Amino acid sequence: MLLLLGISSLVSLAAALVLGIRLLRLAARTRAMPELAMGTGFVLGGFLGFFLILVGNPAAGSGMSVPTSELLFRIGISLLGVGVSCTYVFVWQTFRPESATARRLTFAAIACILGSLWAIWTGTVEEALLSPLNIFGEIVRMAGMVWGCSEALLYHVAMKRRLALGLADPLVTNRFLLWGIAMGAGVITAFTGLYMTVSGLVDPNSWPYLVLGIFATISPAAQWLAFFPPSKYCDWIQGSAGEVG
Amino acid sequence: MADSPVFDFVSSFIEAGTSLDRLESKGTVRLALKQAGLEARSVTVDQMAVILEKIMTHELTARGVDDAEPLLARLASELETHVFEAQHDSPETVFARLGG
Repeated sequence: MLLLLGISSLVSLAAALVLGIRLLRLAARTRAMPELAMGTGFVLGGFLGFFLILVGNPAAGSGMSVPTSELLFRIGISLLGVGVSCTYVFVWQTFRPESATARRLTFAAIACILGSLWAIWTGTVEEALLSPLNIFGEIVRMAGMVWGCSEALLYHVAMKRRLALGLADPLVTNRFLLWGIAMGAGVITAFTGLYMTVSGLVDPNSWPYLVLGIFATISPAAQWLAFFPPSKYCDWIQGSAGEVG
Repeated sequence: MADSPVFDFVSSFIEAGTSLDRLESKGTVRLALKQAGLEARSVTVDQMAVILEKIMTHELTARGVDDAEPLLARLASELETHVFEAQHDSPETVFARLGG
């Protein structure tokens, strides 16, 4: 299980870094918010935050002093919070840019996520992770991914109808499905992690580790396929759309 | 949320050229868009042109509009030449851009 987790962590880190840089370069050209938000989220949260959490985790056996590893862990959790805040901004700006409700929801969620970091920076890391404030922050973070997943999958359904009329590109249609799957896998990963924290599960052979390993691999893999699809995959998607059409 | 200027233009044209009132004409166009997986708030000129060609005739005929085809031909012609204000990027436009 630990090997699977290790592999999924490496896949996650690599995907986040490459996708993040690519999207930030795109944002520099287009000056558009969606790619800026997603790119920033990937680099700060998906790569740097996650990396610091892995390195600063006391169970990692890195040999660092406790204060140093705890500091890195706290910074990592904070950056992960920034990353999920970027997800909220991406979903709002992409799917509901004119909605005042979506704007208020996004700002409220970001305030809750940043506010919940107070628990991470006060007291010991162990106490912080189990504090109601941190758990509340985790729930708000998961809600962002649920929102993204729902919007993407609903839009995928609409895109399939457009595809039948020749009004949509098959690859773009598939991209919504893949991103929705990535967000859904992210929710399951976050929920499983929260369950393990609250229940105190440390046995690496227990079932949550398997769930974590699987879904923590699905999320970056789906994102990679969405934004960096191999040519054979593109051919398959185009071909399938042609058969249906 | 506001409807797209393309939607408003088409609905108004149908309202003016048929016996349908504002609510009925907007509702008819919305239903046609829904069949195609499109939304009134984000439909573009190109998308609407396809809807007028492939779906709208049936929808208007079902609502008792006898001269639907010539009406829609005039509408399609007007739609092509009308200048609409820029809209927000649709989710489709954003996701197309993200894939490079």
